Amino acid sequence: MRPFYALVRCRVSLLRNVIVDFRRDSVAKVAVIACGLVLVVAIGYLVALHSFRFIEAIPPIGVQLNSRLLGLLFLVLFTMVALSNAIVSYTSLFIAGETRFFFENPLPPVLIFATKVLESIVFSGWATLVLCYPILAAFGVVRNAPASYYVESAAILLLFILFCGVAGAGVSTILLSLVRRWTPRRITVVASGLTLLIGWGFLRSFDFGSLNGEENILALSRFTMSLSALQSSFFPSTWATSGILAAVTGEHREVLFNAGLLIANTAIFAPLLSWYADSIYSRRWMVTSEGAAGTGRADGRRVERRASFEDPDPIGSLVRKDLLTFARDPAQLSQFVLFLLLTVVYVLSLVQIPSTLFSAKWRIILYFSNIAAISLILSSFTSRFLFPLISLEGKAFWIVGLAPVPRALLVDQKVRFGRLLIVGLGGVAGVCSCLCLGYHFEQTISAVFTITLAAWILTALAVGFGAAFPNMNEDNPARIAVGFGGTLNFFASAIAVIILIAIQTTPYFVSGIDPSPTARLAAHAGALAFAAAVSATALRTGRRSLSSMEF
Amino acid sequence: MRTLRISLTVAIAAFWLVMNGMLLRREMEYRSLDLYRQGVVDFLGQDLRRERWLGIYHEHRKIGYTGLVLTKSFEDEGILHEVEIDSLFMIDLSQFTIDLFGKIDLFGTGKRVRVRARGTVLLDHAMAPREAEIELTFDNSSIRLSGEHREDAFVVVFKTNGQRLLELPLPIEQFWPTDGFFPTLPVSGYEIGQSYEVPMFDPISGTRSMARVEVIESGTRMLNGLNVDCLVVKTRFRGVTYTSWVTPDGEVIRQEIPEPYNFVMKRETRREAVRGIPGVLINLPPERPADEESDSDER
Repeated sequence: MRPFYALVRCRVSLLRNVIVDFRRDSVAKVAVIACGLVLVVAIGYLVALHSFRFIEAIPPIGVQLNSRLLGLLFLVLFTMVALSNAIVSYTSLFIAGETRFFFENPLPPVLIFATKVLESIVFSGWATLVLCYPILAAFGVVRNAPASYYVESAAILLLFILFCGVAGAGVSTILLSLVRRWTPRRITVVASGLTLLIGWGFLRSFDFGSLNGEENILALSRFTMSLSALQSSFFPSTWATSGILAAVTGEHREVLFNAGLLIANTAIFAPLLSWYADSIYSRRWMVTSEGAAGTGRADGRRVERRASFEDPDPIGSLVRKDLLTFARDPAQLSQFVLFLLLTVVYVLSLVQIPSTLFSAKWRIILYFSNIAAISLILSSFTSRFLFPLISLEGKAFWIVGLAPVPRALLVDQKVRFGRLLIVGLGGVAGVCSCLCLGYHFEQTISAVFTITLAAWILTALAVGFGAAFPNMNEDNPARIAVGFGGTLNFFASAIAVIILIAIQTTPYFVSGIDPSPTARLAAHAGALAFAAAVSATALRTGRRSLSSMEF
Repeated sequence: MRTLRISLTVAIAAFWLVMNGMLLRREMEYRSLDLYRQGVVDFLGQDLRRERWLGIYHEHRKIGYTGLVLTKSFEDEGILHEVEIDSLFMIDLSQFTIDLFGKIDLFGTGKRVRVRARGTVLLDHAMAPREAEIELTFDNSSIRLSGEHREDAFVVVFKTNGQRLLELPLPIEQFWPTDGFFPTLPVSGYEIGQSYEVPMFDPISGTRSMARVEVIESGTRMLNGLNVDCLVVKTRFRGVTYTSWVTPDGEVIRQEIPEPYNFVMKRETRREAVRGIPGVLINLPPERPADEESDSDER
């Protein structure tokens, strides 16, 4: 049991250090994090409350639709949390530096495995818990649930996340065993096939094309009814939904039954994963970590050749290095594909916007809402993938530091790399969404211009904050993104997008729905000036911080 | 340590078997039900309580309402369904014959009577009756109906002013209590071409009749500005064939009872249903023609 206590002591010390750091932090930092969290929870609660109330009042399908939407929420959560935990647990179990440290110590594989899986679940599940509980609370308020509901629903949600987490870890280990001998081409083909199949099934469920805009609720109702997984008694999301619906009516016995199902099906993973950890894990860890190192060396030679002979541009070499590092990390790549898919789903969903909203006033509101939505999606991209770039140089930062270029050049390189990606993505999403919504050419160009400015600002903010608040000790990009700098970047990005949209909408507030071309041009000029000022400030701060940073 | 690990594994496996065994038993019980009873279970879905209210109209005038509240509960003896019925309607007995218990004519003819049926019936997982308690009111006269298991029968006793009027032994089998009017089964997931034959017990006439339900076609209906998927269901009950428009969820949007009755029943909320019936509730508007908005259903 000694290694176990050592590990517990280690984790307790880490926690104590976090608390001590937290105490030492400035009031402003704590206030920003607390306010941001409260704001997100409050907005989530209010949006859910209004949505549930609106749907509940739709005769005659509202009440049943709300219940099925709850089922859909759990189904989506199951997919997202399990997938997210599969990725995080793969990274923690096989790639993380700390795992190597534990093996070298040596700690028993079972203990390393259990610690890493638990940490992955906590890491990939806490946000779901914090963001979904307000939705469940809103559902309880709409259904006049008894006081016990709020405790029982929290317990059900917690158990469900635990189940999804453990299932994700299980999937990760099984998949690794299955695909470890597959070539990258085979993996890509199978993954693409699966994605297409799921995407086709998803779009077919909505019955796109057969409905006009006014029938959106009908489409949603048909969609939720046609999902057989929502109705199957053997599906975990059904247990969670049934538990929540039983808690709403105060049927404690049924809550207990569904909670028991979740506990039993979570606990059954324990002996299975324990057997895996005992017999296979250490072997698989060695093969995986050695394999990764081998591939890295081969690719590194290629990079070196290109950097030395083909391309004298240091920025080009660094961009290629970032691209290779990104492509080599399955966690980064899979999450990037997931983000891309979400963007595609968003753009496709615009086809179903009701045409009844298309009065002149609503068209303007919709136009700017779409720009804001795309900008916020881009902001999640920059926060998740660009902000951690400097920190990901990690302990190998000295290698980049030895390069005969100023350290601040790294900031410019990351910005160029990011802009190439984000401006392109934003532009495509902007054009497609405007076409889906039926806006004319001038409006489309104007939207693309605003989105490009937003992408410009967001990239500068992410790289600037990333350079100002680096975390060189962390090798998990998801963890870097949710640190203090990441949180600050997220809020700064959201505020910048709001200001940008406010500048562009000013002519409409002043002159009504049809402002003069001069007023619109002035707004565009104002937005451009704002973007230039914010980008320059963020990048200057980043360059200065990185140049003066000590190692 | 090894013993502890083995014991824990065994305990976890046993717990997993028990919980999933219970889940499997529930599923097998559900699959052993016939199509109609599965439909009733599906009507509730994952919810444990569901209401359905219909306003009753005759020649555009509201003459009453009928409501049904279905609640699923989990007792030691298994899953029970509690059916709460609440119907109230004004009816001109000169036009209709209510064969009360087949022999008693309480009201004579040519009189407008206010009929109310209110109470609960408890059914087991197979929809067989366990208990019933229903209060029937005809203007100022009331009759209490109670039912219970007695040996191999479900015995229904009718009492008025504490005096036993009639004792009716019914076979222990599935039945569905009607609302005393023209009932529609609370069934979800109808499919075109399906047909059911369900024994129904009418508390007002004290008789048990077979209802034959047939799903004819599907389509959409506009309701309150929203297009809703629905299925057209024909029910033949006590010599009358009437049409209902039912959503895949089991929600009755509209029901039309043909000549000579000419009743139309429309889906309403509980609050809307109890509104507008004379002498029913205090401080409510007097009897009035159905307003245009609630009458805006279009085929």
